[in-house]
Amino acid sequence: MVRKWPNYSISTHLTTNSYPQLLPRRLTPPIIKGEIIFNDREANFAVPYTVDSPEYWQSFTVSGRDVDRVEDRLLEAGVPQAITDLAELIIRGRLDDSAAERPANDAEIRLYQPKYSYEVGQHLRFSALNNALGVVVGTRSGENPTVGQFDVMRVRMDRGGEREFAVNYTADHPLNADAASSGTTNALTYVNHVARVLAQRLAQSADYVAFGDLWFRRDLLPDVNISHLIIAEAVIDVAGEAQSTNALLKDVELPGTDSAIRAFALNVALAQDAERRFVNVGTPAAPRWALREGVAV
Amino acid sequence: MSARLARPTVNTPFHISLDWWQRTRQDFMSHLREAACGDCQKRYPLDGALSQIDFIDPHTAEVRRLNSLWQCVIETCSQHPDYYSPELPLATALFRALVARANSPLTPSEMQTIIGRSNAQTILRVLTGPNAILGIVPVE
Repeated sequence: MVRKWPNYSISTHLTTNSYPQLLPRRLTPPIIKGEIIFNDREANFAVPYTVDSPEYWQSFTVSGRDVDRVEDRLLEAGVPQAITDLAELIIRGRLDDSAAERPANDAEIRLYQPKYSYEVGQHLRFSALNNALGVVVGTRSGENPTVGQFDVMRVRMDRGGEREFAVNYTADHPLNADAASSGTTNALTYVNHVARVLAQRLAQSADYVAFGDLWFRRDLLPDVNISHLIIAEAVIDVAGEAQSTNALLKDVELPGTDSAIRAFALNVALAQDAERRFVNVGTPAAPRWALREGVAV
Repeated sequence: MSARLARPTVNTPFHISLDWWQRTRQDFMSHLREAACGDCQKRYPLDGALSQIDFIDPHTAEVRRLNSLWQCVIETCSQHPDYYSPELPLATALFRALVARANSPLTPSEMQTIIGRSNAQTILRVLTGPNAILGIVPVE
């Protein structure tokens, strides 16, 4: 039995559990035999986005697998990580996953360029069609007196249907230019966008904490208690001017040997002080802490 | 690869479905002829035979079989300043935009740029109403 759902806004992945559904369950129709059927017009709206396409990254959302990767990196590195580094980790991870899903004979899939000819049975990738795949099923002579000699191949597309493309067509055409023929987007150009989305996701969890563009697991930080904050306040007050985190750490003795973690923990604690005593008058990368009241910076 | 099903947006490509014209038993050629200018209508009269040519898409190198009247519209009529007359119904202007591009898919954003009127959201709304207009549907 195929059920039809009313026309409404939805976005979901069909084929893998690696990337869970993106909308609350109440808005999501059940997946029946791997298909989601809308009304007849909606069913035509399937838009396959691949990691090679800009649309994939422009509509990026964080998956459970992405979070796992972030977790693994934080634990392995043992020090806070820049959000852009975590974003790049996710991008590379997804590229690796996508490559692993490709068929074993991927090397036999040639990139389509009109200046060449292809034999029946040849598998091709069409860079100008969002890297759609197809197989050549026939050829014929082309007919266009204004263009000159060329042939036409018929291709059965993996996404369904058959289409025709020019071959042995040596005239000026963008796809005939080798430098621009890859048609694949550089996924890493979206690292800042992915970083923004990732930061929003991590901020929703109490497990993660950030200072500047650095992120870490809260439970891996040394405890910064009220006594430490009192000492920091006193150091700044006595100095009469803003103090760097490293300067404060000489007197604020936090447990642990890693200076990067201790500095990060203290920065977070000062920034999140419930009494709002401290203000960063430096930058997130090079903080300088002053008292919010009565101390010259 | 994972596929995503999404409601059409201003970046969803649309094209003229010739299957739709056949299925609804409407006359595509009469609408094409209406888009043709006087020169092309004279060159290819109603009772005259039309030859078929292979049109090569300038972006994808896809080949589309067009008749000689359609080729005339692309090469001649669509260059006239009144081809996208603001007095045309919006749907007709969108149809003409796709005809001029040999039915290469266009997004609502691109259509708006080509016809020079309305806005992408309105165009999207026109194209995603309860019934397809002039056979213009999202690309599968």
